[in-house]
Amino acid sequence: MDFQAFIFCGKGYNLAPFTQTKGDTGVSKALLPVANRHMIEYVLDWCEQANFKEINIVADNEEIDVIHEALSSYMKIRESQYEILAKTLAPHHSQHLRKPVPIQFIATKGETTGAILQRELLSKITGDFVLLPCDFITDIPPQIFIDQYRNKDPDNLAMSVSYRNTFENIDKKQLDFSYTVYSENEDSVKQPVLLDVYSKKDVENSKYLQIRTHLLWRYPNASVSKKLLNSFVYFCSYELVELLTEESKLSFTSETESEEFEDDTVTSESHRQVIKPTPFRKRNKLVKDPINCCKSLAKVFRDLGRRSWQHSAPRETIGVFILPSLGCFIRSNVLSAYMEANRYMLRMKASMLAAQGAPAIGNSAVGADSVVGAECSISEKTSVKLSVLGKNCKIGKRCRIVGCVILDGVEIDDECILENAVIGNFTKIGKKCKLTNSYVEGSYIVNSRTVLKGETLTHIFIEESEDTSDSLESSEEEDTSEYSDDYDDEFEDDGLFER
Amino acid sequence: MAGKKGKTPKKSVGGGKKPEVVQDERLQAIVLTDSFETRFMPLTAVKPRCLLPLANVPLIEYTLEFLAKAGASEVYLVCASHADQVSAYIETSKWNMPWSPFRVSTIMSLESRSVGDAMRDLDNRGVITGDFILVSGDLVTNMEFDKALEFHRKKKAEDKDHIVTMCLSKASQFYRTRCHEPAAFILDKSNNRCLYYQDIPLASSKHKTSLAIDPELLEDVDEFTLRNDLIDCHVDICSPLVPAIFQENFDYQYLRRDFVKGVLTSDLLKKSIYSFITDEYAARVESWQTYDAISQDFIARWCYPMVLNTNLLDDQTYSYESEHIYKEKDVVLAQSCKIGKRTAIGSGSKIGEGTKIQNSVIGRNCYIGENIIIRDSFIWDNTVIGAKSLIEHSLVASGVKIGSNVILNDGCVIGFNVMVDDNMEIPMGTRISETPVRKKATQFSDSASYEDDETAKQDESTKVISPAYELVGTDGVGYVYDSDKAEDDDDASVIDVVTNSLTYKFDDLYLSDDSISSTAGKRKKKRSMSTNSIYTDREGDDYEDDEEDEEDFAVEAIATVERAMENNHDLDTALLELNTLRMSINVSYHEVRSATVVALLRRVYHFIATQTLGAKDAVQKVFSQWGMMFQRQAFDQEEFVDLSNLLLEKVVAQGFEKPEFILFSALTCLYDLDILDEDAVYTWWDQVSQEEKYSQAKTLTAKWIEWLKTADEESSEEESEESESE
Repeated sequence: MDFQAFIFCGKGYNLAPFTQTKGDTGVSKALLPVANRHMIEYVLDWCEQANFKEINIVADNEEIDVIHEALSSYMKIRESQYEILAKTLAPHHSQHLRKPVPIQFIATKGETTGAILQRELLSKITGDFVLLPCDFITDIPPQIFIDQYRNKDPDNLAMSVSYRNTFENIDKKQLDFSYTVYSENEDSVKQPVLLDVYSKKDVENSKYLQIRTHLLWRYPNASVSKKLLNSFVYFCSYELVELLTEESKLSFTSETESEEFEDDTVTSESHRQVIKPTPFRKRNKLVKDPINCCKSLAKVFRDLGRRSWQHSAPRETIGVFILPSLGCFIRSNVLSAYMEANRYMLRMKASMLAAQGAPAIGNSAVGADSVVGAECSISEKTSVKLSVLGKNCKIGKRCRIVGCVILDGVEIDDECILENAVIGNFTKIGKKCKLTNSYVEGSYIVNSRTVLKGETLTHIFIEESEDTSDSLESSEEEDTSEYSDDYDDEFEDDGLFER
Repeated sequence: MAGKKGKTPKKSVGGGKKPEVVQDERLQAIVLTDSFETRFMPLTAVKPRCLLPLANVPLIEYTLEFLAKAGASEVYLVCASHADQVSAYIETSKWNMPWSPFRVSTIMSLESRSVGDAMRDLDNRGVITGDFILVSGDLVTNMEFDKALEFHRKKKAEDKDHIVTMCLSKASQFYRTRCHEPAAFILDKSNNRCLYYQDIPLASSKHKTSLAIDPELLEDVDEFTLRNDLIDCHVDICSPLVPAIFQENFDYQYLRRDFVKGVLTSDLLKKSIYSFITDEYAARVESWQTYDAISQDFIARWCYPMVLNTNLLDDQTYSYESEHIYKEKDVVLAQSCKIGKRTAIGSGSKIGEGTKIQNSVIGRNCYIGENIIIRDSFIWDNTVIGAKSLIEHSLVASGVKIGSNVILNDGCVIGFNVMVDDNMEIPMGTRISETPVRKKATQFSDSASYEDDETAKQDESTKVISPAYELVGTDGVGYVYDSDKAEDDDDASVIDVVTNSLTYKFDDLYLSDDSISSTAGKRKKKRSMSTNSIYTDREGDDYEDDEEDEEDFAVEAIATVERAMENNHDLDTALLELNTLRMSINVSYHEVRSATVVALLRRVYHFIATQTLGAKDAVQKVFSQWGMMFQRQAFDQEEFVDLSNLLLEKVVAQGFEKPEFILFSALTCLYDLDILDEDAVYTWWDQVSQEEKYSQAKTLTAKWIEWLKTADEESSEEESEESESE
C-alpha cells in the first residue's frame, strides 16, 4: 500500500494581503514562511516521515516555477543529508537506507481543486493516494493516519480527516465553521463515516439546518458537529479514481439525463472497467452516479458522503477520522491561524532549547522563543518575544515586538511597539508606531506615530501611503473558503428517491 | 405480587393524604388511560385500550406495575372514553387494596379529546403538587426508573429551566416496537438536552422531507446527535409547570408534536427538556404491530423481571416451562396436541386432540377443538374454536365463537362476541366486530378526531351497513369494520397515512427472536406499504385502485373540501389547504378541480338525501358559497371546459336522482358567479353535445344553452342597436 501524495498549493485567499491574490507584493501561499521556513516544507517533512511512494506538488501554472525554485535549497539539503547518512551508515546497514522519494512538480490550470483532481491528476494515479494541503503543521505522525486508513471498512472509498481546533488564540470568527454530519456507527463494527457538510452560510441562507429524513433512516444515530474543521487531508483508495474518471465524460450531462442514467445502473455497471483486485476484500460495485467535480475537493468529498446514503441502494462510504485531541494539528489557512502556527513552531523551538539546556543567547533582548533571520540588525534596548523576524530586517532602538510575524526586509524605526501583528515584506514602519492585532501588507510605509488596533493596511495605490486612513480596509476579506456557496445545488433533485 | 416487591414500605392508606410529607418524597404519577386514538378499533369501541389484554394481562397492569416499582405514591388515572370501565376495574383490582404501594384514584376527564385537553383538565383540578411521572396506560417496560429520576434531579439541579425528562429507549431505527409515528430527537451530545423534535415520515415514505432545525436553537451547542433510533415510550418526568404550559397554550394537543416542539422552539418560554436514554425494554402498545411485537417480546422474556410467570394478577397461576411455554393450572390438554414454542395458555382452557399451537397466547376458559392449527395468534378469554380450523396471525377477542373448518388469514381481528359460522374463510386483514361500530365511534371510542362525526354521517347516508354474512356465514354475527380512516387528517402532511394493521407483509421482520441490539441494519426496506393497507386506510371503495399519488390526493383533497364545508371555513383557508396539498403531492389543477367537484356534489347529495334541502336549493347553497373556489382552480378556456366536463362526469357518477337538473343548476350557478363565461360554456357544449353518453344528464342543459345563446344574441342585438342609436 504505497501512497502517492499530492500536495495542493492553493492561492491562499484568506491569507491576503500576504499572498499573491492582489498585486505582486505577496508570495505564493506555499512559500509563505512559518518560523522562517516555507510553509510547504513542513508538509514535505511530514511526507518524508510517511514514506510515501512519491510526492507531487500541485500548483497553478504561474506559481509552480516559483515554488520549484524556492524549494531548490530544500531539495539540496535533502540530498546532502542523504549523502551524509549514506556515508556514515556502515555498508551492512544499507538496507535501512532509503533514497529520498522524488518530488515532482505538476503545473495545472484547473479552476477548482476538484477539477484539477479529475482532469489532470487521475491519469497519473496508479494506486491509493493521499491529497494534502500545503499549509498544515502537525505533530501527529503520518503512521497514525495510515493505520487508520488501513483499518477502513471495505466499502470505504476514502478517508477524510477532520480536526478540532486546539488553539485558543485563533479568532473563532475567521474559522468558517460548518455543520459536519457524521455517524460514529456506535452500534456496528463500522468505522465512522462522513455523511454531509453544511456550511454556515448555506444554513443562514436557507434559515434552517435541513437534514434529510432519509439520512436518518440510513444512519439513525448521526452526529452533527460545529467544531470539526476540515483538514483537507484525504486518503483515497484507487477505486475513487475509477469512480471519478468515468464520470468526466458524463459530468456535463443535463440533470434529466443523469437521472435516467441512474435508473439503468445495471448497464453502466457492465461498462465498468476491471479495477485492481485487492486480496481479502470484496470489491465494491461502483455505481457510476454522476458526480460533478467542478468544485473544491471538500465539496466533492461531501458529495461522495451524501452519495453514500441518498440512494435507495447503499453506496460506498467516505470515512471520517477525527484527529485525537492529544496531538496538534493546525492549518495556516487564515491569518490568525497562520500567526498561531508561527507561535506554535516558536514554542516548540523554545521548549526544545530548554530541554537541551542551551544557554540563553548573551544578554540580547531576543527571547528564546523567537526566531531571527539572517543578516538582521536589532538595535539596543529592543526586545523581541515570541516573534519571527525574516531576513535582512532592521529594528530600531527601544522597540518592543511581541507575538509578531515580521517577514523579510522589514525596517522598523525606533520606539515602535508591535503586538500580534504580521508585517509584510519590505515594509517600513516609522518611529513610535504602535500596532496591535494588525496586518500590514508588504512594501507598505507606515508613518511615524501611527497607532493601529485590529486593522489591515493594504495598498490601494502603492504610491499613496501618506494617509493611512485611506487605505484602511476591514480585515473581513472576501471569503472564498472551500465552503464557498453552492447553495443552488443544495436541494435540487438528486435522485434521492429513485424508485 | 408487585405490591410486595422492593418498595419503600410507605403505605399511604387510601384517603389519608398527609400534608406533612416532604414534597420530594412523594412521587405523583399521572396515567393517561386514554390514548385519544382509534388504532384498536373495533375492539376499543367496546373496551378501552388500557384494559385490552396483552398476554392475558390487561395493559394497565403493566403500567401500574411499573409505577409501583418506580416508587410512585399517588397515581391518578385520567379517564376519558370508557371511564366507567376503567374506574370499575381499578376499584376491584389489587391496586385499590389497603396494601397497595400507592394510592390510586381516577380523574374523570370525560370531555378530553386529546392529551392536551387532559393536561389542561389536570391543571384545573390542581392535583399536581410536585414533579410527577406522566405515562400512558399502555406502557410495557422493565426500565429502572430510579436512574431516570436521579438523572432528572441532577439535571434539575444543574439547569433550573429543566421541566421535562423524557425517557427513551434505544433500538434500531426499524425495530418493530418503535411507534407508528417515527420521530427524530435532536440531542445535545454533551448533556442529552433535547434541542429539537420533529416527526418524520416512515422510511417507506415517498415524500422528500428534511428536518429543518433553526440554527438559533443550535447556537451554544458544539455537537449534537440526530437520533432516529429511539423508542418513545412516553414516560416523562414532568415538573408542575407542564400542565400550566398546556393551559397557556390551549392549542397544544399532542404531547410531543405540539408540546415538546412548542416548548423547544419557543422564544419566550426558555425551558429545557432533557432525555434519558435507557437500554432497557420500554415500549407502548399503540398499534397492532406493536401489540404483536410486544406480546412476543414479553413471552420471550425480554422484559425480565416482568414476565408472565410473576403472575401480575392476583389470581393468576402461570408457571414457566422451557421454550417459553407458560401454563396456568387447570389447563386441559389432549394427549396428541402439540404446544410449540412461545405459547401461553390460561386456566380452564381445553385443547383438543391433534391441535397444534405455536407462538400464541390463549386466554382463559377457551375451548379449542380438535385438529386446529393456531400460529402466531392471540386468542382471548372464553372463545370457542371449532375443529379443523386454521388461525394464522390473527387476534380473536373474548367471547368469540368460531365454527369448524374456518380459516382466519393473516392479520384478522375478530371483535368481541362475534360468531363465525362453519367453513368460512376470512380474508387477510379483515376486522370484524359484533355490532357496527361506526356510529359509536363518535361517542364512545377513544377517538379524538372530530372528523369522524362527519364521515360517520356521510357513510351512514351513503350506505347502510349490513352484517357481513359473506364472511361470518348465515348463522354468524359480525360486521366488517373497514374504516380505519386516518385519524389525523390534519397531519397527513406531517405523517403519512400509516399502515396500521396486524398483518405483516414483511414476514422476516416478524417472529425474529432476536434482541433489540441485534436487529440493527437489516431491516431496511422491509416496511414497504403492505397491499392490505388499502382496505384499512382508504375511505371508500371507489378509491381502491392504488393509483398512488393521484388517488391519495383525491381522497385527501375531497376530505379537505368536505371539512371546509362542514366547519364553514372561509374560502381562502380552504383554497390554501388545497393548494398546499396540491403542491406537496404535485398534481395538476385538473385533479384539484375534480376533487372539489366531487366534494361539492357529495355535499349536495347529502343535503338531498337527508331531505334537508330540495335539489335546487341544495345546489344553490353549496355552489354559490363554494363555487368561487373554481375561480382559483381554473384559469383559461381549456380549463373551464375541463371543469364543465368534470361537472358532467361527476354528476352522473354521484348517481343523483335527477342528474340533468343538478348539472343544469350547477352550471347556471357557476355562470352566475361569472366563473364560467358564455364562450367557455359554448366551447364545452360543442364538444359534448354530440356525444351519446350522459345524454340524460344533458337534456336540461341543452335547453339552457339554447336559451343562453338566444339571450346572448338578443343582448348583442340590443347592444348593437344601442350603439346604432347613439
